[in-house]
Amino acid sequence: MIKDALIILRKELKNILKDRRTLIATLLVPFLLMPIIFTGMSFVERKQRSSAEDTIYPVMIMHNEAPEFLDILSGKLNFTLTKEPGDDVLVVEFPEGYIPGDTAKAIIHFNSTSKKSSFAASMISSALVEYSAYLADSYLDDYGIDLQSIYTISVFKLDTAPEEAQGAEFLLVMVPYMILIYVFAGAMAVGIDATAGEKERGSLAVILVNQVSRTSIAIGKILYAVTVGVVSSCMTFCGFILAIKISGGMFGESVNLSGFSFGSLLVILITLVMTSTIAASIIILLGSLAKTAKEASTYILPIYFIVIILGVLTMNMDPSSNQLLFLIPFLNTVFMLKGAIISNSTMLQLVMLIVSDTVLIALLVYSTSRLYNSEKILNTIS
Amino acid sequence: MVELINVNKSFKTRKGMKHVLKDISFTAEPGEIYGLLGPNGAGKTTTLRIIATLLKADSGEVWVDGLNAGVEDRKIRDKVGLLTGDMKLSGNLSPREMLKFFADLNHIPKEMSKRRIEELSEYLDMNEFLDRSIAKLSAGMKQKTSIAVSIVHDPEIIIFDEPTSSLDVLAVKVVVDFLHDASKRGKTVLLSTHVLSEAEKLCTKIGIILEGELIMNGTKDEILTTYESSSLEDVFFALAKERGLII
Ligand SMILES: Nc1ncnc2c1ncn2[C@@H]1O[C@H](COP(=O)(O)OP(=O)(O)O)[C@@H](O)[C@H]1O
Ligand SMILES: [Mg+2]
Repeated sequence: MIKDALIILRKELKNILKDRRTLIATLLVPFLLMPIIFTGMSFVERKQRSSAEDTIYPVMIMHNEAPEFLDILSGKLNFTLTKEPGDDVLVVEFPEGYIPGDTAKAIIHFNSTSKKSSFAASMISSALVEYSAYLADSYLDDYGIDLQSIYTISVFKLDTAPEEAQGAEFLLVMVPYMILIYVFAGAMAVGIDATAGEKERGSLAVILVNQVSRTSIAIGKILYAVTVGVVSSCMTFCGFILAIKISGGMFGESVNLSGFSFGSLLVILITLVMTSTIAASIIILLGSLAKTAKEASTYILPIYFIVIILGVLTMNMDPSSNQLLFLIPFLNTVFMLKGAIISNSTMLQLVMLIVSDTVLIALLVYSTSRLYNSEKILNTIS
Repeated sequence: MVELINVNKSFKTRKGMKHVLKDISFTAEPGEIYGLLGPNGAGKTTTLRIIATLLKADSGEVWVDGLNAGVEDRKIRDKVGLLTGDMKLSGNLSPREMLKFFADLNHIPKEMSKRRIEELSEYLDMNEFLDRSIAKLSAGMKQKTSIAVSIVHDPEIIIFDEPTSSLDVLAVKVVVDFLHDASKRGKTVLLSTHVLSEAEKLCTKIGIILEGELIMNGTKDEILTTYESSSLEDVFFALAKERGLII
């Protein structure tokens, strides 16, 4: 049975390997998409930051002429003093009659819709904090006390997440969804063509009159869609690794790639294979029920969207509070991939995923095989 | 030889059961080209699919080369080659790779399939394009490839369902020549068509099928004598009128 299924798989793969367009769509695009987005994003980000830092900002300071504040501010921001308020002028307003040392409220006028203005405002704000500390310090000096002895507690943040997880937050959110999308997209690109497409081309009937059982034919088609789905999603994953490598510090130096242990990679691979097999089986089943490729995509797309939406809705859910979530196909993919990336997935979770996914796959393969063995498969007349 | 005895077939539809074949009986012998002639929806494809074991008859008997359809389907599939007019070969494989694929599906041993492909390529004059991508072939070349695919396992029974319906004239000639030759070699050829002139020219025996009933069955001469007519066309339209299919 498997030997016969491999005849189908081999032929389809041979065909796709000569099809440049499908190869690009299923291999190259998923591989390059993330690196291109990441590079673009970090390029724009860097450009904006450097231009914000290089700009000279007009600043108007009201009711305070003290040179100490200007000193502190010039250490943080390129600015020129101006007397006139205007559109892009940042105003630092001390209360009228302010004398350094008074208890007072300083107001910064800025434009939050402008990135540069916001940047300057945050710099001014931090200069004000420093200025306030300076004033306090010199006030206390009269009493022979220094500020350090009043601030008895100084705060350090120490990240306790595993080393691999540090800074990986962005990855955690994005990777599983992109992978899920490409599992579907890859399997869909070839799955519809191998089923409904074959009906449209009129070659289905001819394929069914020979020595190979119809179950083998169904399984061969599923294997084909699985293969493309797995390869597509692996390319997406490799694309992510490449993206992080080339975009450097954007996500923090601590996104540690060598930190993907062999165990994590194995978990990721198993998850991809299981998920691709489910997606491929769904696509082959629905594709075989449809009479045309168009009809097939109207059957498959809603499921595709539900899966993605379900994933996004549960984005902030913490599966460790309810392990049963690992029994829900597709959702368990997202949780498992997240877990593998931060190296806190457990054997139990993996087993739950494998068991529940296998049950669903068995059901889908059984239904597909039943369909191929019935006369309904030949329903090509709309 | 193919023999159908009182074959009935119904399909489940939304409006209940639809009786599509009603007591169909006929025989096609080796060396004959048997043509099922009828308008769209008459039941031609359904009849041919039952012979090719793609569908099961609800009642009646179907014998293919002495094998009972519904009991020995796998053996029957070894004996029949099926080609449908709406089949469009496409993709990037070459005719040789496509033939290899179908040879594998028919469980033909490697060495034998290699020899068979050479033989078919010679027979259908395909050498020139045997290793070119199918997507780049002309209509005639594609047609030759389709024919080769359907007979890669050297079947005794050749079933062609409206083989010329979507072909250009040059590709039609490929099919017609092949069918003549196959019958000369003693194969049993069954084909369906809705084109009167095609049935008249090509077939040695004709069955006229209307609304699932085989209302006429015999050689062209037999049919013309029975109806005291000089052309098959007149007979066909007279029959259709009788049944209220033409006003
Ligand atoms: N799977 C099916 N389900 C329901 N009705 C069908 C099915 N296959 C064929 N039919 C109906 O049976 C009749 C005969 O169809 P078919 O054998 O394809 O005719 P032909 O090949 O002569 O055009 C048509 O009315 C068609 O609608
Ligand atoms: Mg038909």
